[in-house]
Amino acid sequence: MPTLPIHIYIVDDEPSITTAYARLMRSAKMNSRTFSSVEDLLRADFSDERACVICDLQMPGAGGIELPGLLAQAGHRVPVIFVTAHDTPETREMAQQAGASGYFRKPVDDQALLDAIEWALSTEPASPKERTDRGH
Amino acid sequence: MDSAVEDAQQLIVETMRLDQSILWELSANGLELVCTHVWQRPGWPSLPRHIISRDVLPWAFSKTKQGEVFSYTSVADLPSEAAQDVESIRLHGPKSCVTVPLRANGHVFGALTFATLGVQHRWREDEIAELTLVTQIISNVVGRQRAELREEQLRTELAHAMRVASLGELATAIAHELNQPLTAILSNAQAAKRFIASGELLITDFNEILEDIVRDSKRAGAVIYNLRSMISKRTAGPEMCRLDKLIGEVVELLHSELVTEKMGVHLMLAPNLPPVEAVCVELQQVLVNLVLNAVQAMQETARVKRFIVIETERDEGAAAVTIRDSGHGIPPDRLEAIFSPFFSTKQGGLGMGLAICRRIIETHGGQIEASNHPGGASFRFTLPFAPNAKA
Repeated sequence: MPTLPIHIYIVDDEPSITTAYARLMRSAKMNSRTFSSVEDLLRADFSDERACVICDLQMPGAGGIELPGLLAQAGHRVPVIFVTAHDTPETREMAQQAGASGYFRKPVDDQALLDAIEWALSTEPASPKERTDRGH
Repeated sequence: MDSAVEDAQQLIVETMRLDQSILWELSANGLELVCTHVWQRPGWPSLPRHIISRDVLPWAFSKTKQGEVFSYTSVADLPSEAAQDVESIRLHGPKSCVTVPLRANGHVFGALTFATLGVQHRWREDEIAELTLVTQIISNVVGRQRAELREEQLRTELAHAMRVASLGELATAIAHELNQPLTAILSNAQAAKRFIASGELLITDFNEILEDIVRDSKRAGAVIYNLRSMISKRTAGPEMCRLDKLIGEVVELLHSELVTEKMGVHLMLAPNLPPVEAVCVELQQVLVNLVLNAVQAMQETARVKRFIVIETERDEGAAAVTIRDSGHGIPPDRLEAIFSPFFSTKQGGLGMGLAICRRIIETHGGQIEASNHPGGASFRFTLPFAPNAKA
């Protein structure tokens, strides 16, 4: 039975990384769009339907960590998976507090990332508030 | 310097009708005496050995280390504790000898010996006093030379330690810088594998993927290369350095640090600035220090107001580089003190950064100064253009 295509919104200030992620998504039969900043994504018109955001944490402008909150403010309900080169317990904690659906250290393994996307799409995205309430 | 010491030895030996004077320096481990300066009358065989280990002359060694002057007219005069020494001296040693320890900063670092080789010499009190006095003078000269050498060594070590320390601060930034190309390489390679597995790999896609992997691998290599040249202890010689290129490299190296700290960097580089002749790695170190300094200074500045301006310009026969931040500035009474070693406003910092910057700039014939501008601090250094540089 054919399923609706999955849309991945890739946010990273590094063009070579967005290009590579986009290829990876294409190889896994997912559609993707790339954005160079959080602001770039927020300005765009996109659907939350079967969609997921993959976002870097260290970027000029608004850091990725603010993204789940900003998306919720804008009325979006879409899961966010973070990838970061600065993997510290504090960052991990902050990502969880912010309501991330996944958290990976760069470089990220394809299967782990794709599994996380599948998982994120199978569960309702939680708003940061609800997450905190649930004691994460 | 070395021949001056030997000239002095010759003068003393000839005036006092002796045969030989040797300057021995203690080896670093303190177990050997090494002959560094010698003068003896022509006709005598050259020294049997230039290095004497402690085992050969244990008594003389301990006397010297204790800073005692001692002499003998005949080896038979030496006390019974010196049995081993007597045996060694009978084999190779002089007939009669005075040994005066050499001191620098209160530490014995060797001894000066005066000796006869053919006939015994009965040492008079005033002769020994005189030899002790001239030894003190020679000691001062040699000691100062040694201290200078040591200081130079310390400076090299310190500069290395500093490079490694600022490297520590940079570690996170560099990890990020390396992770970026690696992330792209991994995802590209895994995407290609998936396309192959599904039988959907187009040759044009494959070619693009490989091109990207090649480019990112080279980029990762460049990060490592920059890193290596920064921490290398080898002091590279002066070469032609283009400041705009150097500034570009440093900003690139610190890119992720700047991004993480939300620092905007504006470059205002004068076109066609002639090169300077300098040790590029050292200039790079100065720039890294000054930029990281600016980053530190803006920790409490609102994010939107954080910026660093790096400007180059001509200042008569020199290039001038100014690094401005929008931080809290420097208290006017400290504008000079910040360049002293161990002056640090940062917690955990050694405070060597700016002292080392100043030393590097000054050894390159330039000047560095700090000042405040409305809304922040600025550091400006000059470096003379290379002598035959063309614009």
